[in-house]
Amino acid sequence: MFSIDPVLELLSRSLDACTLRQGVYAANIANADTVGYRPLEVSFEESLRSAAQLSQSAPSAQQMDVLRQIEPSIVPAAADTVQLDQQLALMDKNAIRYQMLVGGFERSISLLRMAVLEGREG
Amino acid sequence: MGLFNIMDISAAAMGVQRTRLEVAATNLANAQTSSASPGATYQPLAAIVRSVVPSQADPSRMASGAAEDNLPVPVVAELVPMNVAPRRMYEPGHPDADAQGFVNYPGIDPVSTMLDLISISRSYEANLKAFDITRSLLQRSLDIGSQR
Amino acid sequence: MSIESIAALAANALPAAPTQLATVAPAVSTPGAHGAFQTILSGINELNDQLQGAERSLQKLALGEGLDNLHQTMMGMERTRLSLQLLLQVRSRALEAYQELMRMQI
Repeated sequence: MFSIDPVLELLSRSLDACTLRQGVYAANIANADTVGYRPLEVSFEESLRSAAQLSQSAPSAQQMDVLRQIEPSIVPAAADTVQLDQQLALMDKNAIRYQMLVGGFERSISLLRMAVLEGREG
Repeated sequence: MGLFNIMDISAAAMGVQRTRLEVAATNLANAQTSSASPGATYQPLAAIVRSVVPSQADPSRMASGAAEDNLPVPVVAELVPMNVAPRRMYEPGHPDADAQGFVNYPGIDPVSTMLDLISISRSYEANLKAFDITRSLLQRSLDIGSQR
Repeated sequence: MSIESIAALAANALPAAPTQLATVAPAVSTPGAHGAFQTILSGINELNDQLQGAERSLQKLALGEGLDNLHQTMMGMERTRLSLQLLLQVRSRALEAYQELMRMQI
């Protein structure tokens, strides 16, 4: 598929990471009672941010190639044991972030749709 | 894939908690059963919960390469008798009383079993909440593009 | 405020352009028509800036930076959406007026 908009691609990759993070928090909560279980985390946005300084302008094609190399990865969390309330709070935060990203995606799509349809209803 | 697998993780954990609940309830229910010999006393059970990573447990899922298959899922590995010494109560008139007048009851501590029940219920709630959040995300994804 | 400038453009500049075109043919090169064209261009430029701003804030959102002022991001995007809608409306009205002129019997 040809890329309409690098920002849309960024958003969708962020959504991928959000989905994985949701799974990691669900696994942390699910395995809270297992003896010796170490909670997990997802690392993505930090590496994405550091890979390319692009907070000022839209990413160029080369920058997008660099960004596509970065995959979200599962890493051990800082804490030794699972705290249910904290994991739930993190999960809720992640869910809000997911909805924000979907909202941004939809708004962005609706702008494009408007431009494609030249203001006509469709 | 994706969010559905995550719901499976939470659902598996709820199943595990239900098994733990059944075990704790069985132990509590049998706490007052008496027996004449220490060996014949009801042995309280313990549910051993282990975390299993699906991609390691089942090589066929390795090929799928989905990140969710690398997340550990809790399973009840086995139910084992706890091997605790029976509680001996001095009740001379009891039909099960031995020569010294002692009756054997299972070595179940009702207080710690109740505490277990509370922790089980907390875990169950947390997993249910997690399941709900994942479901709401799934629902939100279904709405993508349905608006103008 | 960019919306106001586009609104002004819709209210003043456009009705002016067809009348000038209708009165005399060489009016296309008069300062008035030129001004209207400039206003439209600057409106488009402003909309472009707004779109780029919206893109930047979405990018921040994707990189996990936009969490502190989400309402700004969302309001900015809605403002951009309205501006685009307005510009498209202005464009289709202008086009209608032009076609009306082309059909006119002289």
